[in-house]
Formats: sequence, C-alpha cells, structure tokens
Amino acid sequence: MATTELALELKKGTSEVLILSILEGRPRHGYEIAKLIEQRSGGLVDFHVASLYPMLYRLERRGWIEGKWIEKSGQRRRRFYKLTALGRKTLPAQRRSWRELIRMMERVALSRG
Amino acid sequence: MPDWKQFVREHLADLRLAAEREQEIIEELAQQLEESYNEAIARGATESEAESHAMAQFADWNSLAREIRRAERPAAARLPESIPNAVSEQRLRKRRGGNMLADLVQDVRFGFRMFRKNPGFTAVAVLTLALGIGANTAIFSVVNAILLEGLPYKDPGKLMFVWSTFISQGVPISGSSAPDFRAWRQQNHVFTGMAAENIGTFNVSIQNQEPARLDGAHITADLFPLFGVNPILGRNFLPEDEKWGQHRVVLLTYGFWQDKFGGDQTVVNRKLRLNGQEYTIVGVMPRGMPFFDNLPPVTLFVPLSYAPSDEMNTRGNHYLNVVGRLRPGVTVGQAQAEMAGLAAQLQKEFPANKGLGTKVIPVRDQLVGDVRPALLVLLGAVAFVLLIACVNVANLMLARATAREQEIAVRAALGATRLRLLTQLLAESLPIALLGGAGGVLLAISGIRVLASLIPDNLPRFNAIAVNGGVLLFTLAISLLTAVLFALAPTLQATKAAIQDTLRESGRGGSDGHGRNRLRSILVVSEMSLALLLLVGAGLLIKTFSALRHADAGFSPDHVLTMEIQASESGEGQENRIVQFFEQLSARTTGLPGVQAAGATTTLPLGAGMGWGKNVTIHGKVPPASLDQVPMVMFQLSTSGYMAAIGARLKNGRLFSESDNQQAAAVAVVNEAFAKRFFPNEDPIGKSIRMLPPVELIPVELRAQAASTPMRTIVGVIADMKDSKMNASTEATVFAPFAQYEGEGFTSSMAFVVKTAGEPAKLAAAVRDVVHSLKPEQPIANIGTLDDVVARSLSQARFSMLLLSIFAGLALALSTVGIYGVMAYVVAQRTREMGIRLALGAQAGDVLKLVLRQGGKLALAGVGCGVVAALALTRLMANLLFGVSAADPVTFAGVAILLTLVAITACYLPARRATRVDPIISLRYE
Repeated sequence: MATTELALELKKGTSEVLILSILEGRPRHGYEIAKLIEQRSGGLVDFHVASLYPMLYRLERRGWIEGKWIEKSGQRRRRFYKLTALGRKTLPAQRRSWRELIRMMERVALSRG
Repeated sequence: MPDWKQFVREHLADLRLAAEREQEIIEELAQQLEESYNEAIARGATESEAESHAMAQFADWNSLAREIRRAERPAAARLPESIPNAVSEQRLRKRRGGNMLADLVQDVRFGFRMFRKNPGFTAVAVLTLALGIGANTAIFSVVNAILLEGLPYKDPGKLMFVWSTFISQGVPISGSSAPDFRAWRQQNHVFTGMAAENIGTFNVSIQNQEPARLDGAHITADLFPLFGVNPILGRNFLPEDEKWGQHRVVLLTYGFWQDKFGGDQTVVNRKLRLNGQEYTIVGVMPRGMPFFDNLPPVTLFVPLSYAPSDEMNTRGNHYLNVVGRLRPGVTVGQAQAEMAGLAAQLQKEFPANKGLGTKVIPVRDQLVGDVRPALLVLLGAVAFVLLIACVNVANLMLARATAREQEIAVRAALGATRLRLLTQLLAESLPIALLGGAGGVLLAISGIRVLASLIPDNLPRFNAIAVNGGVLLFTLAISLLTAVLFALAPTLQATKAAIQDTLRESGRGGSDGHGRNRLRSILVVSEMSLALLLLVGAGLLIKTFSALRHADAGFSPDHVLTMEIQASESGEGQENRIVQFFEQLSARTTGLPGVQAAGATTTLPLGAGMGWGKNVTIHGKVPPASLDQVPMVMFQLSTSGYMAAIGARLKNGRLFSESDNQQAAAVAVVNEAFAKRFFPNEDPIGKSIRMLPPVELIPVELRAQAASTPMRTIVGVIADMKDSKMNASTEATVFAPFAQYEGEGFTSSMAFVVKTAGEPAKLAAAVRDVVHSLKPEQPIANIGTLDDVVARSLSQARFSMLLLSIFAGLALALSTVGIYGVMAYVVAQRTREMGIRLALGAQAGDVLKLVLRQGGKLALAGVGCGVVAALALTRLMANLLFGVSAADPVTFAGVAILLTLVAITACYLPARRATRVDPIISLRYE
C-alpha cells in the first residue's frame, strides 16, 4: 500500500483546516502560521512553506480569511491574517467532516474485527 | 544580508496580477525568507548556511508562481466546486441587488461545466428526456390522429349512422332498405337532414386511358351538404340528379382528378364511361376529404338512383348506409328513441319490416369501434412510458440534488437567498432540459415517419398523421417540469429545514438521509413494475399474434393467386354469358402450366362484413311462426374449381363438379357451422334447403317471384373457412354452384382464385392474358395472393403487437437506465466506504455482492409489484388476446426473469466499479 501517498492526500486536505484553526485564536502573519503548523503537528506533517502562501491567498480569495498590513512600532510592516465571519462559520463544518472521516475509518476498521 | 525582495523579484515569474498586488506578494514572500534567514543566524548558522536554508524554502519558483496565479484567479471562473459560489454569494450580498444577468450567465456557465464533470449523468438525463418526449409524442400523435381527432367535416360530432337491426336474427347492425331510409328522412324530427350512400365498384374508362376498376359511392344529393363540404370545381348533386335517366353525372375526388385528368381546371362537363355508360363530370371534391374511413378508397361519386322496378329499391334489400346530422340540442339517446318509434311504426305497416329496429351510432364511434380497445391499450402504454421517463428524470435529478445538498446548505448558511439558489439550480438544469427537449423533438419527427409506414391500410385514418404540436408541448412540459421540480425540491427542503441539521447529518460527502434513499428506491421499484406491466402486455400480444398466424383458417392460403373481376356484359342473357366467361376462364387457367386449380367465388374468406346474408328454410322442419324468426345464413356462389383452388377441406359428401350446371338438379355445399346449427344430430347430406323464408310468410305480391328460387339438396359439408377474422367464429354458410344462380340473385363481380405450384405472382401475367383472350377490354383489380389477404386480416393485430413491443422495449431501456443510475449513485455515495473496506482487506467479491444484493432487492420488489399490477390490468386487454390467457404463466415468468436479469446486469457495472475503487481516490472523493 502506498501509505506515504495516503498521507500526502490527508495532509493536503487537513492544511486548510489547520490554517483556519491556527487563525481562530488571533490574527497571525505568514511566518508565524508556518511555524505553528510545524509545531502543532509535532513534525508529523512536513509542511512546505512553498504551498502555504498560495493556500493563504486562496483562502483569502474565498473570503474565509482576510490579510491586512500592520506596522508595529519600530518594525517593518507585516501581513497579518485573521478569520473572517465566513471563515469562522465554515470552520466547524470543516472540522466535523474530518472528524466524520476519522470516525468512519474507525467504524469500518472495527467492523472488520 | 541579501536583498530578499530583489531575490524574490528575480526568481518569481510574472504573476500577471495588478502591480500593487504583485508587490504585496513579493514583499510577503521576501519577509518569509528574511525571517528564516534571521532565525538560522540566531541559531548560530553562518551567513551562507542561513542563506541556503532560507532559499531552500522556495525550491521550485515556477510551481510557486503557478500556484499563486491559480489562487489569485477570480473565484467563480476557477473552481468547478461549490465553495466559489458561496464567495460570489457573499459578493452578491455586498453588492445588494447585484447584477442578475451576470449571475445568470455565470450560473449557466457553471451548469455547462457540470456537464463536463458528469458526462454520464448528462447523457443519461438527456437520453431519458429525449426518449420520453420523442417516442411518446410520435406514438400519441398516431393514436390521436386515428382515435381522437374528428372527421374533417363540419361539426363531425353531430353526424350519426342510422342502422337497421334484426335482433331476433342475431343481426345487431345492418344496412337499411331504400324505402325505410326515405320514410325515416321524411318523418323524423331529430335530424336536420338524412342522407344515404352505398359503395360500388365501377369499370372506369376515360378516353385514351387504360380501363380501370375502381371503387366509388352511390350517394343521395343531400350527403355532401350534410357533411358541410362543397366541391372546389363545379357543383354538388341536385335532387333531380337522383331521377333515373338524369342520373348519369359524376363527382370526382381530388386524387382521381389529379391522377386521371392532371388537375385539369376544365374537367367539368367532360365525359367518362362507368360500367359502359357515359357519365358527365359535374364537379371535383376538395383535397383531404375522406369518405368516412375511406375503406375502400373511394374515387368518384354518382347519384343514388333506381330504375323503375329495381329490386334494390325494395324493403327486402338492406344495404344502404344512412347518416343523419343531429338537430341542435338533440342527444343520441333522443334520436335513438325517435328512430325506434319510427321503426315500430314501419313494422306495423309492412310485413317485410317485421323484426326490424334501428340503431343510432355516432359516426366516429362506429368507424373507430374495432380498433378502439387496441388504441386504448396503446394510449395506456403511452402514459406508462411517460411515467417511467418522468420517474427516471426525477430520480436522476434527485440523486444529483441530494449529492449537493451539503453545498446548498453551506451556501444557505452563508446567506444566499432562496431565490438565488433556485435561480442557479434552474440555470444548471436548463442546458440538460434544452438538450433533452431538442433530442425529443427530433426523435418525434423521425419516429412518426417510421410509425406512419407501419400503419396498416385497414386502420381508419381520418387525417394525415403528423407530429401533434399539442402533444409535443404536453410531453415537453411534463418531462421538463419533472426535471426541474426534482432538481429544485431537495433545495427547497434544504433551505427550509434546519440548516444546521443538514450540515451535521450529512457531513462532507457522507451518506445522505435515509428518507431520500427510500424515495429513490420507491421510484426505481415503481418504474420496474411499470416496465414489467408493459413487457407482459407486449408478450401477450406477441403470443396472440403467433397464435393467430398459426390458427386454422379452414383453407390453405399458400400459393394462391387472387384477383377481382367484374365482367361487364349487358342485354338479354347477360347472366349466362358472365357464368360462361368465368367457367371458361377457370377451365383455361387450369390448363396453364404450373396451375393446379382455378375458380371464381362471390366472397373471399377473411373479408369482414363482405358476406351476403339470406334467409333459409330447411325442408321438413317446423317452419317459424313469423318472418323475423326465419334463420339467416351466409350465401356464396362459386364455380366448380373454387373449392379446390382455395384448399377447402371436405368433411362429408362431395364438392361441386362441372356437371352441377343449370340442367342438373340444384345442389348446395354447406360448412360445418351450418351443419351444426341446423342438423346437430343428423347427417345433412341429402337434406333439402331453400334460400327463402317459408312461402306462407312471404307477402302475397312477392310469392310469384319466389317461385323461381330452387330447392337445393345438400351434397357436401366442408370445414369452416374463417369468413371475417381469424379470431372470430365462422357463420353458417351455404355454397351454391355459380351456374345454378337461378332465383337467388346474381353478381357479375367475382373473386378469381388460382392455386399454383410455384410462386403465385409469377403466373399473374399468364392469367391476365387468359382473361384478355376471352374479353380483350376486361379490367382486373386487386391482383394479390391469399397470403396477403391473411396478412391483411392480421395487420391490426400485428400493428398493436409492434407498437406495444416498441413501448415495452422503451420501458425496459428506461428502467434499466433508471436502476443503473441509482446503483451507480449509491456506489458513488459509498465510494469512500468501499475504498476503506478494500484497503482493510475486503475481497472484491464481497463488495460486488454487497452492491448486487442491494440492486437485486430493488429489482425483485419491482418485479413483484409489477406482476400483481399486470395480473389486474392485463384483464382489460382480454378482448385483444387470442389463444393465450391474460394471466399466461409462461409470459409472466419469462418477462419477470428477463427484467430481473437486465436489472442485475445494470447493477453489475457500478458494482464492478466499486471493486476497483482506489482507496486513495476514494478518500479524496467529493
């Protein structure tokens, strides 16, 4: 079985949820998001920074997150992303569907005994 | 530290975005590089180490640029998925009112994209719509033209046939006598007018043209005014045209005028010869004016006129077809009551009218009567097929809408208005509806051409059969409405129901609600039952047709050439010359090589309604008390070779021989039906009969004439030859030698029958030469074979069978598509589950069984319901059946097995697909 391939598929699907979850607490900039994903997945998910930015832009286009340039005193301006109302509404559904998938896998796995 | 901005600018390909946005992205990416660089430095890396660490993050700049470009593309044009629409929802709400046209264009474009995404779904939906609309329109148009549309006469619903009846003789309907008709016309108060007609055959000769034998009609002058039809050239008949001596005027049909005179406008007042007499053309009737059912096709009209002392003008000859037009406000029932009263009056006045009643029947009912049950069964089939098509479309749309329920719910949650959602779904189903509708129209047009060529000649046809616009609109409307309704219904429900529930329950790509699954299953089961019903109906008709083909007709139709010859002779002794002509013709034809027997007869078998009925008196039996109780039987004259030529089977005694001539004692051959009816326990051979009522019952003034009717001795009994239809019993019939026609009436019009050793058509020319060697100008009509006669008598059964089979095939195809669609959908819904099962070690066979079991359950339920429905409904078509019971177990079992096998096969394809599910794809599956 191509388990690595399976993992890739899973990862791609989970990244969006991960980003949304990370932004749930407060706005963060891109570098921070990348770091957090790496930390939270405990290194299991080998997240590529190269795919982070296109994903951010896509989520922004979709209206789930919103980026804004913010200058803090003495620092260069950074682009901070925050969840929009739409993103906030979508997140539970996204989470639920992943939970559903996991539950189904468990169910099927158990039923085979 | 490198200038990361410059670095990104150098490496990142042109994003083709607004300059401002591009700068933002470059800045953001540069920051990312810078941060990693700084971080690496902070961890103690060298500058070059930190640099390469940072740069490693964006190894593939080209793919990064591609990804960003894709991410930045406007949402709606990019994704064939659900989410972008939600975004556009958001935008729409921001715009408040928005640009509806732009939305519609976007929706339709989205709809077409769904096509490409689901080519299978699209093909099935379009095909189902096209079949449902097209096939139904074609067949309904035919049925409509035959059954439902009126005659092209003025107010045809008011036209009634008025028949004579002779109930005590078992004659429910017969033509009427000329004196009765005149009495009715004069005395009734229920009809605005009454007219009479009688079909006749004419030897037509026009200067410089081959003589031809054609059918025409004798009509009273008031017939066409009663129809409300006027000639396009010349004039209608006038009452004085009916006077004997002034009667040699003729009206032409449009077709005859075109054929024989090339549509010559100056044809009025020209002459032509009918049966040797010169007639003047007085007018031409309009195009497309059938004469009732136009069977046989009538080409010309002459006035109904009688010579003084013409026997056809007496109360004893019932042969006129009488029509009347109801006065406004008069019902059929009132007309019937009045006519019955008049008939009772005539019974009192004239002994010859004893036992005669009347029957009023609307013209259309009468003409369609025979085919009505068949057409109604077909009409029912049309409805069923339409229903199946609609169920299929409903199922498809429902499946798709359910699959997208989650998306709809999300969008509704995000604030999309119901109107907005409906508009989009409508726009999506529009392309399918349009394609399906267009396909349906094309199918209807081509289908009707095929059907028109299949319609048997003896099916009454009032109007040219064309695509019926109303029907087309109706099927279009009902199919498209079904499509749209079932595409929208789940949405309506989703927007109404608690959105949260939908979101929670279904989840992303999860299994859908149990209720909807059940609805789809019910739909499949019902279309399977409908299909079974139609298949059983078709099966029964196929068996009927086969039984009819193999039924014993009582004669051998193979290798028999037939033709009609009306020998025109005139003057003293013409009857004898005609008899002589047919005797000589038979003798010379029999002498031709390849001919086994030849003879002439007054009536060929299987010519429904063509018989010649006569009273009969059995010598030595107690005579009936009154005229209306005198038995009536069929009477037929034939030359000695006829019985052998047609292959009649002798049961007892002997057939006619050449010595049964005018000088010999009068003889008769009877059929078994006659023997059974009059001599149930005796040998009929040697018994005497006379084709007359008992003398004491004959009105005194007619007794002298009756004296010339001979007493005949029965010399033989033959097997019953089917005289009207294969599935009707044969009437008691008396056959007499043509040479001994004395006193019973005479006809110069005979069917000539030739039994050949080889292909009968090959001898047609030789027989024609023999006819012309005896009578050079003699026209011959309707050359054919006895096989054709049999086939024609079966054509209606064949037509019904064919149409119902087409319907059943259609139903089978549609319901197969239906069950396939549902199973494919179920498999698609459970793809993820199947994939995981397989990934966890399930065998392909297990998955196959799982799917097949589910499909098999549906199929069996459908077959079960169908059998029950068919048992109830096929009884309604019992009178269309012959040689097979309406509950024929073989047909039922065969059809049930066929349908089950087809259904299982339809499930097999999706089941196979389920076994090949790739677990990875299944997890990604949306």
